[in-house]
Amino acid sequence: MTVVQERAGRYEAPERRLVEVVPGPRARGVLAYVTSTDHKQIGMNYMVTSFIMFLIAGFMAVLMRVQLSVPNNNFVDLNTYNQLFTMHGSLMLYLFLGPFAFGMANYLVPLQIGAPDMAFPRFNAFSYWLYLGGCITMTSGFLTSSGAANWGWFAYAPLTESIYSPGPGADLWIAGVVLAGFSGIFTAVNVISTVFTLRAPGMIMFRMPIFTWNQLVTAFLVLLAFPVLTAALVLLWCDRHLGTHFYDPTHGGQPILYQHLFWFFGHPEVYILALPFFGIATEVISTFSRKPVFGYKGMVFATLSIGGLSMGVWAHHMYTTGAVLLPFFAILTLLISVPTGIKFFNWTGTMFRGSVRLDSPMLFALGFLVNFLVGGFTGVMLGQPPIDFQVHDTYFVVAHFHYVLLGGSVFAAFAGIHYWFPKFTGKKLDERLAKLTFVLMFIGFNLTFFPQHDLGLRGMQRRIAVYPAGQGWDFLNMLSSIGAFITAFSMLPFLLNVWVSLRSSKKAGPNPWDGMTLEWAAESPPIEHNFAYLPPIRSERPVWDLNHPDHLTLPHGRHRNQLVTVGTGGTAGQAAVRAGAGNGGGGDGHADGGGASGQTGGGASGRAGGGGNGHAAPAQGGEGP
Amino acid sequence: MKFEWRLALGTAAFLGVAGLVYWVWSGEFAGTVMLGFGGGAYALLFGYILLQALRRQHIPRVEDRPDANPEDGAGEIHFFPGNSIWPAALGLGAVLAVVGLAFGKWFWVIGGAILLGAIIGFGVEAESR
Repeated sequence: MTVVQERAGRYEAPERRLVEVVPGPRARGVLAYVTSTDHKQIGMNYMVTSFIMFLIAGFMAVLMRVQLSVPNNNFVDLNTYNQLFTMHGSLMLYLFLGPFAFGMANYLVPLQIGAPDMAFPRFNAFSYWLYLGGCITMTSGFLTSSGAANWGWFAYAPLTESIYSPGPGADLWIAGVVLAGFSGIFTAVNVISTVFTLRAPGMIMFRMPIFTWNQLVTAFLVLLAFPVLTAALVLLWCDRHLGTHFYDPTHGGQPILYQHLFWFFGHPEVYILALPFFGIATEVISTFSRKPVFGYKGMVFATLSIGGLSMGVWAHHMYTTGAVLLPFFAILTLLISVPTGIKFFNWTGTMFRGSVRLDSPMLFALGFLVNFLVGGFTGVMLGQPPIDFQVHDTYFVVAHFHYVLLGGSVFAAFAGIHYWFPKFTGKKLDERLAKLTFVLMFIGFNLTFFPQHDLGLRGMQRRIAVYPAGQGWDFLNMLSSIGAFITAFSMLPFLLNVWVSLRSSKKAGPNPWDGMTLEWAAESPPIEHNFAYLPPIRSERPVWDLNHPDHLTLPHGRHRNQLVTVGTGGTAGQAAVRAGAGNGGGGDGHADGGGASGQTGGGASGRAGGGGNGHAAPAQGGEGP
Repeated sequence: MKFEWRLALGTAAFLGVAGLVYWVWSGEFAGTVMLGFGGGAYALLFGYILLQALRRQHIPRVEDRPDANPEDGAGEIHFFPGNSIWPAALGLGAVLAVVGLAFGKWFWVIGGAILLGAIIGFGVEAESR
């Protein structure tokens, strides 16, 4: 069925004007799922598939921690251990965190900018199928006789040459990463096109929610990074099968070239895995502090500069090769801490003097702040070559990146799941189980990875499967393994929570958290093509302005008793209103007609009351910056 | 569309300058080439968006007007396709073809055939909308 969507008009529009060009029977059941081009369905597919990958990779982590819990252990053999850490890293980095962020982007970016769908819906579906193929391909390596790839998630040459790593499991790994990479590129193209061309009227770039901004910058990074990875892997495949010698040092090839190519992808990739989750944390902290994001523009420029700088720091993973320009990469690496610090400052500023509610999404976001701060500190340490030379490839590095990616990104991902679950499903997650999940996860995570800092400083190398007793590592390793079990156990209340909440009959309503950004103006879950109506967009939080006309979002740096121009970045001298008195100024023009509110099932809280609900949308918003 | 082209221009300029500095300072080729090509690619994107922006300079889009109301955007937005089997078919063909990297040419033959069929089907569907 083909549909042309028209913009929903004023509120009094009795129904959405949809023109069906090619009428026909609607697909049902499995066929509807396979043929869907709806961004919400595709986003859910991404999120659910990647979460399954997360559980599988987490299970591998538990197996590894069992092996490492005591010295001289023989729980798994050495080759299996190599496969476990390789596939754990590959699944988490290529198939969970990135695609989970893409799923969030698919679902939420069109909703947050008021678009009916992504710009290229069929292309979008195609990229999901590529990703699913990548998941199956990569994990099926375990089913081959020689096992899955066992060369670490970054697959350094010359270990990857066919004489050192024979077998189809290794090639399946290459195929899986290539497929996931193409899926990422296509999603990035889609996100950029959507943000550039499908925004709602009035949604200028500097009114987009921070989450959408971060997804946009992420998409820019994906476009730069993933083609390089694909190229590196194609060259690797040629080395393995066609007899070329790109990375083979015995025939004049250059293993260091692979490292350059890989990390030119790999470092932006780290930010591809972090920036979307910074965005989630920003949204959650803003909503649950009941304040607009502090320093909105600073936040945007911090994201942009993190994105920019991350393109020029790849070789800080290669300090100890002795073949890279240390000062260049050290300077750029340390510069990244400045915009990251700005973000921390702004997150704190958003909470400062807000009315903070400690609901489960906020708890996860606070956990993210704490863990990511630790990961950020050790990142600044590792960015300095003298320290990196000492602790390179030790558990200190393992602790660092788990604090960034698990303690940071995954905690923020859980904040996002708990925050948007009502939007995705129409049901709210149970708060008590959610808080239990958080407590277990927070304790388990820190117990697992904090001791690993010390292990690294005591000289324990990463990726060793067996270690002798009496090195001062025994107790810390046991502590870490206990923590891993607690972390794994924290998934039980979460999964139970999802199961129970989905079966409950309690409806969440369109806006259970008093959210501020445009996705909360849609139904939960949103209808086909998303919006029956759009509120006028006069700031970066249109739904808040609609629901709280007496507390309109002020331009930054203005106080309530000053003359203000409503609208982000409005320039002085344009039509101005006194914020307190502006209430109702344009009320009649945007009054909520009965037809519209009936159609949206009660509408957002606070605007269902009918026509009298004036929304002050008076002043011209100015030219913008 | 001011911010859109500025974003692409900024990315291209950053990569270009970083590539130049890196080249002069280190003389290493891999990084220089990657930064340079990255800058070039974003310069292409910048050029395209700038052309689009110049073409519609006199009629700002509703999403670029801070004072636009939802009703200003009334009318057809864009074509949005309904359900389609072709993305899944394309995906199946592409995945089989890529799995051929591990298992050899029969996967290329089968995957390529499915891919070709799906491309034709997709094209026919896109023609008829």
